[in-house]
Amino acid sequence: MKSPMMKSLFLASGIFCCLLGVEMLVIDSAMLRPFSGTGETRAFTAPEWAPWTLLSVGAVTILHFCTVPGSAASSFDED
Amino acid sequence: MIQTATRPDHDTVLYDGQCRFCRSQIALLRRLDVFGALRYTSLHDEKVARDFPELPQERLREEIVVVDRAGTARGGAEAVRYLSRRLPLLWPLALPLHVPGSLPIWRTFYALVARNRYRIAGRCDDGSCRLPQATPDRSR
Repeated sequence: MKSPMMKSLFLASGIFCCLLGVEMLVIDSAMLRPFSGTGETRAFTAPEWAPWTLLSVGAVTILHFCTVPGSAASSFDED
Repeated sequence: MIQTATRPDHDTVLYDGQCRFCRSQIALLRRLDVFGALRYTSLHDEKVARDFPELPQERLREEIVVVDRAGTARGGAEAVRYLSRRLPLLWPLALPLHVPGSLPIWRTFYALVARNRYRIAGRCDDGSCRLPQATPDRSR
């Protein structure tokens, strides 16, 4: 992979998915409020399988990050 | 998934009690179920036909079925996936089982093992899986 940015993106999205999965595992439901502050608040209840799917997608993405050769830091040094 | 009218108190695992392989897997499941979240019933138990008439006997013979507390019945690979979520000791297994798009692979693998289960460990027709009968009280 040429761009270290892309590699970092894999790591970031993998960690994000894992964190979101753990968060969904802990909570029962979330209340979604609109940014504007006005309007209806919606309750979001994730399906039972959703946290595990997010965790597995995150794990696969992080594993992919690990298998991509070269570190992001060394690529930055070359520039 | 099949919706049953009966809503059991605990998640109920229905398995083939005449299959050595299934019995060994249930014994393993009992050890992994440290919080006692599951109940186990052999499909040959008359309670099964009475409590879950919606579940065809052919399907119960083909695959393990788990009926959750909401009355939803999952079979085969989906049941294993559900159990991996329910039992904390199986959480490491839940990750590969929940990879999006991987369910057909697990279904195929489950069907392969289920088809050959008697070949893998044999049947209980010889009575080897039967519980020992109570000996009559000779003190009287």
